[in-house]
Amino acid sequence: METRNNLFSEEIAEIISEISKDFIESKPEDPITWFKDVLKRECMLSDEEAELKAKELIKGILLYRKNKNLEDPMEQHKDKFSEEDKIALKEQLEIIKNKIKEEVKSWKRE
Amino acid sequence: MEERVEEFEYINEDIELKGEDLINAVAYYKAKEAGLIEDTGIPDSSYGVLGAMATDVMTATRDYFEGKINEEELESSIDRSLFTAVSTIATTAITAVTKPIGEFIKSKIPPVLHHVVDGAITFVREKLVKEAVRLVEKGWNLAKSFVKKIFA
Repeated sequence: METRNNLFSEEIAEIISEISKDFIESKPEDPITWFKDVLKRECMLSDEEAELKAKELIKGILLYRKNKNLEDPMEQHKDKFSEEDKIALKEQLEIIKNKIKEEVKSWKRE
Repeated sequence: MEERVEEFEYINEDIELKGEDLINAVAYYKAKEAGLIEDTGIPDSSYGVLGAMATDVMTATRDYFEGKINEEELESSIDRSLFTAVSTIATTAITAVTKPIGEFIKSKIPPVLHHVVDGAITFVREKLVKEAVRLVEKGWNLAKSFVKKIFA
């Protein structure tokens, strides 16, 4: 399983590297048009599909950026989360957070 | 420029889009399309959330390696990014999945049975919260090789 995860990790690293290179080299004046073109090319989407996917993905980016500025992003949606949800969420997040921190710190030690 | 404002008018705020966010969002969406991330029906906007989260974690990591922030600030930044990503994905998924389904089913059955639908929705909602956490963890697992390559 670990080998599988590592393989995937390398693959996404490659994808990000390639797309970053394209972004840097093309220096897009209109990043949204660049975004749609890359989606079309990389994910083999039609014009219409790329337009829809670009909107969905940008919606996610903007929601994240908006929520990050809030004191508690879950507070405005408290009707959607039970107390049990919140506790379970925080426990799970603690595990992931510690994992990431340890990994980042271990890189610095290497 | 005018087109962009109209296109994203559902966000009534001026929020800057970063190039890294767009790059990472394409990468995650492509990973999902390629089967590297299991498609569990979570809305595609989640991959945009993952992209923005990855940008923030990468920035915090870079700042930590360059000595601009200390360990405590790194932890705080990662904590905030993860929490924001999970709560955003979970909220979006719950709204997109459970509300329309619940309203549709309730319109088809007698009111006396509505509590059964509410119970089923609670079950689905709990699964979606767990799915959001799993997706963010997967997002990190997929991104870390790239982060390490740049900064380590």
